[in-house]
Amino acid sequence: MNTEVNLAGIKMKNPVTVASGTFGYGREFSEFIDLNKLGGIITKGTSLKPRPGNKPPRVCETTAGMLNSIGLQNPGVEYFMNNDLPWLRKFDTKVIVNACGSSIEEYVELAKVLNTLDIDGVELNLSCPNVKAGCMAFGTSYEGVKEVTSQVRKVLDKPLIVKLTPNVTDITEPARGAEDAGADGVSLINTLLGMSIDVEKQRPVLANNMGGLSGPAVKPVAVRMVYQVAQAVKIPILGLRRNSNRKRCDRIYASWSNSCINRNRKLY
Amino acid sequence: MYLGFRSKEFVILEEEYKNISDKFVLTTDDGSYGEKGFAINFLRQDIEKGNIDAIYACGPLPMLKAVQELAKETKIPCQISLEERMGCGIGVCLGCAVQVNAGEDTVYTHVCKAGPVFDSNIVKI
Repeated sequence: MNTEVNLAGIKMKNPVTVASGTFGYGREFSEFIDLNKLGGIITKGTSLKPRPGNKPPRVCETTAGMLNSIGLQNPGVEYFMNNDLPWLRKFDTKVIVNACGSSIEEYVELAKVLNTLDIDGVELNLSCPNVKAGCMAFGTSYEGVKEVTSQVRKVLDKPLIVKLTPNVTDITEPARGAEDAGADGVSLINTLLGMSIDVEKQRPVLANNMGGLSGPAVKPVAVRMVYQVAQAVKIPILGLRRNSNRKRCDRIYASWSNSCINRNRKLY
Repeated sequence: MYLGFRSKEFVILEEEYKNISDKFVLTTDDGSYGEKGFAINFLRQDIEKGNIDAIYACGPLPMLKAVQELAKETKIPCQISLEERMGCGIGVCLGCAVQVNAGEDTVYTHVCKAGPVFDSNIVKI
């Protein structure tokens, strides 16, 4: 079976990627799985300068899901290019860097650096709910997404995917912003902003109070938003969800592929 | 072995620890069983007598913090076992963060991969 796909200009041998933040830069998981089997790896959110991340507790379990507030802890793009990228390049898989920043200038500076690297694409993170400035602040409106994306587009020749936040009234607005600014694709969803209370301590469980909700609990929201965005834009969509087993993965792929054939467009 | 509990009803593993310890002190905060007070107070007394070469501690954070300070003050080598909520357990999700002493900078390490046992001089709890 030919599983090759071209997602937003990134030719992958199969449509399976890993969502940013769930896989680090691949090193830890390489002890458990063969990275060569993946169509692509989307790295942990990477910023221009290193970020220490948020205070603990950073994660907590919820019903059918979990909250996280990592705060984009990452070693910075310079460390990535000198350490993780040469290592990742040893594998037969596409490398897509999730790029995050706190201001338009920072996104642009980072994009300039990324443009010089041996990577296959950039996922623009306009959707992290856990940092005060930037990210999600840009991602919630048509104008915000369009502005950052078009500035980045000017300096980035590589395939550009914009990662959307679900914390909006109408997901099609930021999606159209990305498309109109020249993005090659969109990925969705990032986590839903949530909060959990420790009743004994009478305070939120997470030190940052709020965090992003992921897991089986949010899957229907993700599916709904992919459906809505698919009708609103013409660029490809990278659907981010949990694949807990192969059977389910095949089923989703089959159903989404069917919808692609109808629309002459692929959803992954 | 210094084993501290809130009160009698929470006491566990008394025999097991007693059997493997040369010296065994069991305390309860309210004195409902064993010695009354925090285990660390009895540890302090024995440190002052010069009977302690090293400390290995696990338990709630406020207690570990007190042990960490005691070790620093008395210059006794000390290792503490930390707990933090984990997502993945293999160093990927960066959920189980613990701050390390790094001067002015904020630097986190992670309990799952770098720990769970740390030299008490390294971590900031």
